[in-house]
Amino acid sequence: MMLCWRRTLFCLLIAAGVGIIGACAQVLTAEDLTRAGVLRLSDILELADDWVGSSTEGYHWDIAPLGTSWEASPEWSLFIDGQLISLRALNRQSLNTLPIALSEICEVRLHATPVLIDGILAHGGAVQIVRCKPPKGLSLKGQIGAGNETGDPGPYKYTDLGGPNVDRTGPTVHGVLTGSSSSGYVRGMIAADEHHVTDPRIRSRVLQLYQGEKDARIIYRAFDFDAYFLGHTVSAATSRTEDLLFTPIMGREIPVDRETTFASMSSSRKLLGYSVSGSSTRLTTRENPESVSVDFVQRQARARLHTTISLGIPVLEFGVGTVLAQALFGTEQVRHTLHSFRGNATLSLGSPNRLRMRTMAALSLDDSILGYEMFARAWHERIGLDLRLMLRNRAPVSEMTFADWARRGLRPGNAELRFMHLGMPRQKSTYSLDITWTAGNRVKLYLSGGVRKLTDHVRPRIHATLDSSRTRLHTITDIVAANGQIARTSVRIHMPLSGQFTMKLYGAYAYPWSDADAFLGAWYHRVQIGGQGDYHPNDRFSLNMRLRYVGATTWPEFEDAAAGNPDFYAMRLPGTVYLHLTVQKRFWGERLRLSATMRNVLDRPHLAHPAGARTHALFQVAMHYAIRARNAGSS
Amino acid sequence: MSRPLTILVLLAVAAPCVAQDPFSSLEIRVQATQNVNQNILHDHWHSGRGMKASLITPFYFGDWGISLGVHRFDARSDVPGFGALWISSDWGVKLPLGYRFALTPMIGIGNYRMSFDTAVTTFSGESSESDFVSSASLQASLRINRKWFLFGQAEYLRVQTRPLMQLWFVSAGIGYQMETGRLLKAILE
Repeated sequence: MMLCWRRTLFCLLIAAGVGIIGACAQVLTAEDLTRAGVLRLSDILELADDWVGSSTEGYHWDIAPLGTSWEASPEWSLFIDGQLISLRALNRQSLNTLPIALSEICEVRLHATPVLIDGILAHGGAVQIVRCKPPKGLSLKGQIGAGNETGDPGPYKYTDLGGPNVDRTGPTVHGVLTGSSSSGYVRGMIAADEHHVTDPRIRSRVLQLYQGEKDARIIYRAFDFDAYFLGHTVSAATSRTEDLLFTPIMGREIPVDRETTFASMSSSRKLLGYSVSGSSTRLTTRENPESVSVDFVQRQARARLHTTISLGIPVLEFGVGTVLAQALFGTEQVRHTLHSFRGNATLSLGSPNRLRMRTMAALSLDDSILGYEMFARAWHERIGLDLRLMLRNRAPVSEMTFADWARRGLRPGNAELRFMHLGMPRQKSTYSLDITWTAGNRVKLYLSGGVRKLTDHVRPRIHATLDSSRTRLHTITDIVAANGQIARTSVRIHMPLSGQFTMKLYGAYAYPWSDADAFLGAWYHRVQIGGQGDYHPNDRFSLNMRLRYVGATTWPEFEDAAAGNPDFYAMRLPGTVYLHLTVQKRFWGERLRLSATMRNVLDRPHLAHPAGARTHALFQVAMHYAIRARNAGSS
Repeated sequence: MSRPLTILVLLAVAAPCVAQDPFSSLEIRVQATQNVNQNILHDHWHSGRGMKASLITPFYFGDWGISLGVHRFDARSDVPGFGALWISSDWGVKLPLGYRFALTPMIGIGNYRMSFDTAVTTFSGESSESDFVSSASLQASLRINRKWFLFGQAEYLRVQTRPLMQLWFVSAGIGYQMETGRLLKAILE
């Protein structure tokens, strides 16, 4: 009887595995990021095997794990040093607004499937950023970079042959100063970045509201501070972005000042650990000729206590947490508040090289609505199987999405909203099953698949037409509840061909099915395949090549706009091949590192959004520096 | 963009055959350059003479160097003239042909900055513009003694403007080879 059940379960897993991916996190180390010429945080999308993204201007990227999180309504979670940080504002979550510098980062873990991180369930996948522990002594490190997109008119701008100037990235600079001893460390960071928004496809729309002495651009400034002493970690960071916020809901770029701030304090002691954190996103509309306003403030305060009890092999962990969220919007900046409480218990069983299990159960109360979460993971490292099951049923307000605030009266830029159901669902459900199989020692094969069922997920569905000038969008947004399923599968082969040359091939595919257009229309990307080669004859020099094909995407909400002005809008974006090359070399010991990157080497202009700019080949150079005080010990 | 890639692949295939002690020596080159081709750019500007200076050192494979070039384009029609400052990182493979002669095919990437005599750009008021440049060249050198050598070079420059700026240069110059000092070698390594 037991054997029969095992066979049934095994067959079920294989069947499910044909259509799933990425239960294992993809880990990008600081070395990976440098060798690939990553200049901005959003550039990690180029290295993410099963994440996809879109952008109108090439600076803010709406990224999502393929087949796990809505691209139009991001549900993935961001963790910095184990702390959950929300960047989400008006349904956008851009990594480039984060006050974190690349030189601080030790590792980025990309979870394309639901994952449990320190007792918190990231049901839509997660980006987990881990900052390095500084080396002992005093040190200064950082990066200076700039880029230039091909296709400028050059001298032809003085003749009738030349067109307008096009995007230029940077200068992108940051510096990180650290002081560290055996008992703790202190670190401070300052950063600045600039991105020009000049592509002819979006320029006329941008200039409707943009006012400035120079051409339209996004300007980013940030600093952060963190310290560790006596088992406690303290962190505070803020960024200010002179932004050109585009959301389809508002139909054009709105000049806003965006401030992103977070602070946290935590201790991970087993007997009683704690974390307290707060984050805030503030959008302040800059002066514009039509007095359009999108002023919006969203604040969250989180507190969590957890304890771990070890009973030999079984380990129990209990945690309780609360979230207080507030949003201020509208002409009178009315304050809207919601509370959430959650308690969880996690049981871990098993030892290395044997079957291991971890099960988490949580109860929550989101604005007096009871919900639950269950997450179970079973894995065997020697056999290479990893199975994850998630059941989640919580009130939509627990995620503080645009739809939640819209129900309370948010109308950014006087957006036209329609609620399609008078009684919007009080709870939304997500059920998912993911399986990963890993095989091989030297050549590694990862085969993964998963299926998700989503019920009563409230999301905006837009209908975009053109305004009278035929440049900006006139948008009506329906807030609808959608149900459906999505299956995904992926494969990744990692091949170290020699000690100097490593290759990786990967592919991912997602297939949604539902009766509801609102569900189907929200999953734009379906397929992505690619390869990466890394040649490093020694640790001083490397060549890195990334080749990726992103399948065609369809954006039904832009159908009318594309028909009205095909020069500025599209409904279907064709499949695109990207080839990026990076060469980097160390100089003067570990002190200097220069890299040159050519993005989109094939120079085939491509669109990453139906209302976005056309991107040409982009040449970027960067210099990394690291200076340490003499006689400083190693970390 | 595919042609430089092809050249890169060909040079990369040939490079391991001539692997050497990296950063062991340094070549300093100075040369006078002249743009020799005619295309739509030359309907509006005529080229003046230019100069270029380079530092070249043996790399893990082949030779690597940086070069700095300047040249001028004077206005033919009702457009401002401009001076171009061009910095690039070059890599190539030296192919010895006997004791004194050598041929060196090279490729390079860098930045091509144009400073215009008159600022009439819209909005930003900027009087200069920078663009990506790639290059491919063939150099023939004749060694005079252990340290000095003469060389001539034919070079193709492709500035990624729209329309493209495609420039052919011929140049001649003199070079000096020396041992890389300990400090400089420590920096380069």
